[in-house]
Amino acid sequence: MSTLEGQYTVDWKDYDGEPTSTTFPVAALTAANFDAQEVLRAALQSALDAILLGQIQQYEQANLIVDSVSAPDDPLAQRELAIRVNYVDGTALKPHRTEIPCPDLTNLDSNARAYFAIGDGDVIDAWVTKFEAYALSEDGNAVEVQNMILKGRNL
Amino acid sequence: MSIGFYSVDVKDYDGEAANHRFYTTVLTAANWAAQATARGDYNVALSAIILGTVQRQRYGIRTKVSRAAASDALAQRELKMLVQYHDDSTGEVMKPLLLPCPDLTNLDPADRSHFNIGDGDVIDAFVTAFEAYIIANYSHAVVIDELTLVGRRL
Repeated sequence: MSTLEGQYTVDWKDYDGEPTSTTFPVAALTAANFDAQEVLRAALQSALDAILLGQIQQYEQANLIVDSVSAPDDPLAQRELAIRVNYVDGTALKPHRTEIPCPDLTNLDSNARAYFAIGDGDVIDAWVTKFEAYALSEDGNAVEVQNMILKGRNL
Repeated sequence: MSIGFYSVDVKDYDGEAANHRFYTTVLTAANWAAQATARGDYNVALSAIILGTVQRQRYGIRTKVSRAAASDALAQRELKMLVQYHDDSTGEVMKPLLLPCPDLTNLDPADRSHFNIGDGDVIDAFVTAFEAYIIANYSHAVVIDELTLVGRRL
């Protein structure tokens, strides 16, 4: 069983540039309530602007899904290991990276042992396809995965 | 400027937490279903390549407004407005919220540690907007009890 909740988070800076933020519990966004929730959010933000002196930096409207509180059963699931995914903005060619914790090391490429096997039609390729379909660059462009490297702590 | 985001919290074998996140398409009512499908597909593909357990997924829209500091010297995060409110259905007292950098000219002259509810000014407008948008226990409307000036301990 999972739970779903909405969150509205506002980040401000005060006069000396110190950051501060508040997260409000709100209704989870859906296609049906999306526009109505935006009206309510804008009204609250306008009211906040009228009573606070801080400078708003950014705000987030988010849904939070809590899937589990359990730890995995596999002792090989260790956050000290991660996949470093190097990818580029497909338009601007600007490099980006993200890290995925607790990788399954059986997906390492037997011919290039520090890398996960891209091109064998297995689960890593499926992940690449879904990532490129869902992720965007910071500038809002489609992305292309370059490689996926096993990384850990510095030794 | 707005950008979508997706963030996953993962727990490892000894219960330690780690995170994986990236940017996505800005959500709208029109693309909601397609994005939900892409997110679900991604999550399945992710679960197939990791051994950790996905604890939480967080997705939404981040809108950047400014990088400037506040211009008013009285804007100090050390001062907060404590918002105390309750669930209008059950009466349950909710965890208070703290709003930074309050404008102290809105304090009630007749009750000087509290912000002035009931004079039809900006605090009342905030109360109305808050009670319209904020919820308790996933779906219940809320009622603000009081707005108190708080700060660091002296």
